[in-house]
Amino acid sequence: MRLKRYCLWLMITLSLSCQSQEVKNKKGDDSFSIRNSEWIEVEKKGDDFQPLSSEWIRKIVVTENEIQLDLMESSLYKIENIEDLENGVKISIHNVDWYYKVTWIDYKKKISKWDYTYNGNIERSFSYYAIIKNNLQLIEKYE
Amino acid sequence: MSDLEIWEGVEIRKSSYRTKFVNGALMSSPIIMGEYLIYKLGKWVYERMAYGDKKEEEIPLSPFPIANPVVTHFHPVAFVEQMRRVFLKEDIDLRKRDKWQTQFDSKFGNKDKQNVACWRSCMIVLANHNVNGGNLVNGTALFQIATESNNKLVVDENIAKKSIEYIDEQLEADKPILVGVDHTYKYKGGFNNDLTTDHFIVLAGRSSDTQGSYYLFYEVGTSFERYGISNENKLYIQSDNSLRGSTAYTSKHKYTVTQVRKNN
Repeated sequence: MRLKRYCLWLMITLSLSCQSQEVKNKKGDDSFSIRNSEWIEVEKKGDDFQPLSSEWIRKIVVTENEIQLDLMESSLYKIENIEDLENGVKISIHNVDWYYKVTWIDYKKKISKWDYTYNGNIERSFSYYAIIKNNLQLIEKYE
Repeated sequence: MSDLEIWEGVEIRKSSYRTKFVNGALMSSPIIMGEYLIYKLGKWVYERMAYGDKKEEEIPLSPFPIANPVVTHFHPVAFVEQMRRVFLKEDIDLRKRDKWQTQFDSKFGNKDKQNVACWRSCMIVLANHNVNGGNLVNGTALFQIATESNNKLVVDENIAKKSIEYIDEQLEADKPILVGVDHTYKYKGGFNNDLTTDHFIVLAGRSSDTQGSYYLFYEVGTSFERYGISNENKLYIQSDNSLRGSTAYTSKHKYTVTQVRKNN
């Protein structure tokens, strides 16, 4: 009985330890600000990411107070607020009820998932993976 | 109105008379012995009705004195003709099968991306017509006609009127024109530059029918060509100068033009 309890305690402790380690690995210790950054849409293939080959490759440009998004066409929106989340940020846009939830997928390579969120639901058509522009060469293209 | 009775012998139809059109002529009971217009052998003829031993006779039409700066009389036929020239616009149809583009094309990416590729498809349609345009200018449309506010779509009648003049001007120059439309209040939260426009289409013709004057458009939001260039893709001019109508591929959406983009 005692052994069983000990095993259970060990499993929970290990599980929590691994989880916090994963978050740490994703976010790391360096401070990165999403303001003044430029992102390029990438494609997820299995566990890897590759540059897009289609004609339309979406871009995101975040400045101090504005964000340029390719929704149907490229448009500029005023940033209302950027809020830190456990593993990413929430970017609220002025005068609308939707926002982008940015989640780190690979913090080291600066790959993230951008989810257009409205009424608590993710709108898939406007949601995609993106890599910070300067790191595009870090992901290889499959032949 | 009764004074008209003494003008050229026209007998005014009494309100109690029963009437109906026969071969283009207004017939009444009891019979009116005045003159009338009838369409015969490809032209309108002004006739006096046959009665008693008098035969039906044609009265020659005299042209409206447009060269004379002084108009000395009112001619109903000329008036109708002039009104037709002023208000009825010449029909235009720039649509061509090979210039249409669906947004559901793998060139735009996966299905999720195709769902929001309408503006890009419209830009290809413009390019297929050798038209350079469709972009925002300094972040705004050339004419922002309608915006969503307080649970309704608010139309600016003056801007709408100016936009119709611009659309006509472009179509008369053989240039289709990209416009934004609204079909659902706060669709996906309102996301285009005006936070109102839900979809983009391309106006490519104009005509009229019994419901009024309308504009024909290319619908890019279907993969079926027959719906993309359907004659049922019509936007009618409303009393507030807005353009509203339906798209052939679905009965779910009723469109109102929200913005008109500039052609260069």
